[in-house]
Amino acid sequence: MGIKEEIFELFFSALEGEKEVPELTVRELKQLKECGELISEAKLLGLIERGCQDANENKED
Amino acid sequence: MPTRIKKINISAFRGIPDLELNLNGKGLLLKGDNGTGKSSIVDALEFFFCGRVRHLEGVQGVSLQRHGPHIGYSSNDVKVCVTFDPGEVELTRTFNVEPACPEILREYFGVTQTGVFILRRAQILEFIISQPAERFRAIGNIMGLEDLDNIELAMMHTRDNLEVDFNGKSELIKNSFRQLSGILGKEVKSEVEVLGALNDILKAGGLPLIKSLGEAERHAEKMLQKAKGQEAVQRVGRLERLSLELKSVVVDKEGIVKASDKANEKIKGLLGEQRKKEMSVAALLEVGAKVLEGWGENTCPLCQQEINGGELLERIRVRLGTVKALSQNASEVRRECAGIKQKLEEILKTLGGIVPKSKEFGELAENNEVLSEQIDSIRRFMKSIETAGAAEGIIPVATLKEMLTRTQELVGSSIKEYDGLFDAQKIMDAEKEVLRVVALIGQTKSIVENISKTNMELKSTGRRLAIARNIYSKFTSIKKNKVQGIFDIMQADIEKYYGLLHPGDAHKNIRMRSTKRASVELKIESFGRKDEDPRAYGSEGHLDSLGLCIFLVLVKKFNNACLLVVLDDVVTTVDVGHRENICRLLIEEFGDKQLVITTHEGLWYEQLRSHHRAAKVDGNFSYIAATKWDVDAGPTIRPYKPRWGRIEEKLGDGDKSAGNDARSYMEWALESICNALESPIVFRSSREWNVGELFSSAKKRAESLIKGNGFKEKVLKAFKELECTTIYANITSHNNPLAEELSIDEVGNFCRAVHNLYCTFLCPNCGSMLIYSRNFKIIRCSNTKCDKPFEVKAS
Repeated sequence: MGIKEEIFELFFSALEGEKEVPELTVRELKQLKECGELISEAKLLGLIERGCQDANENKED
Repeated sequence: MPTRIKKINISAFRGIPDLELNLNGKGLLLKGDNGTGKSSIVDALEFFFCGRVRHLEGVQGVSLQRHGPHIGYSSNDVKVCVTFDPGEVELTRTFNVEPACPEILREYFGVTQTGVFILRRAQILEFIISQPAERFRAIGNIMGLEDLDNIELAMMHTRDNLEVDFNGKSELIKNSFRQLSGILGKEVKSEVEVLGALNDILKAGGLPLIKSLGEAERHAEKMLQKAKGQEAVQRVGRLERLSLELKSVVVDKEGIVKASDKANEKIKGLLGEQRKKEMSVAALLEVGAKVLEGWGENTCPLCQQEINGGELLERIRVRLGTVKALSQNASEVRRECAGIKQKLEEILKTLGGIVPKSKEFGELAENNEVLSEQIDSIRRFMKSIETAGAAEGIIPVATLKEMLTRTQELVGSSIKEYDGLFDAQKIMDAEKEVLRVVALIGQTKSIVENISKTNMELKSTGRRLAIARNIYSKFTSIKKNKVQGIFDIMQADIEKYYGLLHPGDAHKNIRMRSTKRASVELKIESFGRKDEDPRAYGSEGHLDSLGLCIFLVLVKKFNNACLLVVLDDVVTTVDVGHRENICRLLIEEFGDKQLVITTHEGLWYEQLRSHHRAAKVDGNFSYIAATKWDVDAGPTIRPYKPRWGRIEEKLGDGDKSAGNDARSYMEWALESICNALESPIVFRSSREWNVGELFSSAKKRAESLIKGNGFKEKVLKAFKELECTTIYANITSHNNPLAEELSIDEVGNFCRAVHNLYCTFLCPNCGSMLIYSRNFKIIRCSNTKCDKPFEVKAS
């Protein structure tokens, strides 16, 4: 496993154990990385916002 | 079986019209004087693998396209073919076609395309004297960290921008409470305190109290109903509201000036012409990279000419890395300026709203004119903030201070004017008080509503910010630890290699630290002083050795899939003794690699050959020499003939210039013997001694150091023979007219005496140099792998 892969593996497992970060945000971030898409500022902001929205909706349900 | 280069064919490229080099999977030792074309062979390898020649980049007026083709040839004639084994895979690079790399060579090319298989003399200090950020780019590129760095940067920008948003909203709320404190005449920090302060005012006016701010509006309506129908009262009410608005203006002079000073500090570092140029192309580079990513064709999207899309994209990304480091500072400047702008806009918004509404009060016309002028002045100043925000100029702080002081004074004097006019109105005091309280309630309610709205937004931004901070801090700490972990391993290896090259040296404890994002600090302990810059106490030779060690460690750690390592004339500043250690390091640690080493120095070449022989790996190398070069034929490549072989050939031909060659052979041999026996010699910082000094030092040392066994007699006899013939060396070496008088036999005697003395100090079993071991008081073969090492006692 290359250094990049090792860093991402540790990063995602750290995020998954973090209650503060919505599941959807982590999932979308993972998908972004797996697709090899550029992880840009706009994309990060989008997935954070969607994660918050999703977490709020789940709370309301 | 690992991939090795079998053959290199070069056509019409940089001083080489046509050349074929058969390596047959072996390493290559290429000797050639300056200008004989040896570096062109290295350039051709770089062109083949990377499609570029690095030292032709970034120099005005020089380019690969223009200066790649050999004189008299066009870029269409340029062709470099490399044949690989196993499989006899032949690949070709031209200016228009890149090598069609088969799957079997994918990993090999993955390494070579980074360009980190070649080390040139000019690049050796790149790892040492660069700024930490440039060093990180040089090393990070090899480690494949560039992508990670861009992701980290995007995470950091996301966090920073949310932070700006969050701080802006917090500041807005604080400002609103400051406004409320101003109009309520009492410091308030929460809605509860606002209610309390409002009730204090109602109580003082003898008016009924309210239980919540929600009631406030209804309360005001009731009070207004009492005054309804009285035009004068309503007019005075409007005047009172305007006065309250004026009182809510916050001129945070101290905060604005402090932020301006902070922004100016950063702006100063962003004003250089070159930096501006770099920054100005950032957007273009981003768009270019995006277009190329989705383009997928080898034609330029703009002009349809053929391009190497992959290579171009890679180069754009490297440039974006530089630009992004600058943009980090620029984004901090933007943030500071946005905060200043927001505060000035708040002032403009309030003052700008008051002036038109107060036109009905003719008595305030003069005051309003002055206020309007000040509003214009602030608006004009906003342009300076915009310029500073774009890092195109600094904020004129002195003018800013003056402008804010004037604004504070004007607001103060206007409040007095408005209040004076209010007091002069002919309505009953009780009505005045009601109007004042109604206006105050109205404004308080409006501000509190804004605070509630902003608070909601703040909460949501705070949540997003917490996530962004979490993502960034986790990523950055994992990346930093992982990268530092690799640096720790690397620094241990660098220290190991450096220790091999400079045993017992005063420079040790090499440290590589990733202190900041995308930067690497390099520190060394010198003469007991820890964490020094390597340049602080290291000589040129030490720095070159350190650069070589870092390169070799990178090769060892990250280039596993590729055996090719090219060292182009890299040891010029290193002395003979330390070069011996480099030879050992290359053989012991890089014996499995396909090494291509070029040099113009015969001594270094001979040292390497001698070490190869001693380690019995000389069969793994091709030894060739570029003997001459001309523009039509290019370099003339011949199998390398050893020094003594060349001298013997000349003697056989009756060529007395063999004496000249033997003289330089003697200098080298005596220096090697002095080094081997640790002979004391007069200190010269240039490390250049004359033959007399070397001879007498080596001889005296041999006499005092070597003990019996017949070896001492043999050595002293060799010294004596050389001493007897040295006169011939002097005659042959200075265009002496007596040279004509010498016979070829006399020259031959001198040459053989030199060779004999040198051979006396070689191990009879493996041919390695003998060295003195101070600890064991012996003189023995320097080759640790020699199966029957020669050994003699020493005192």
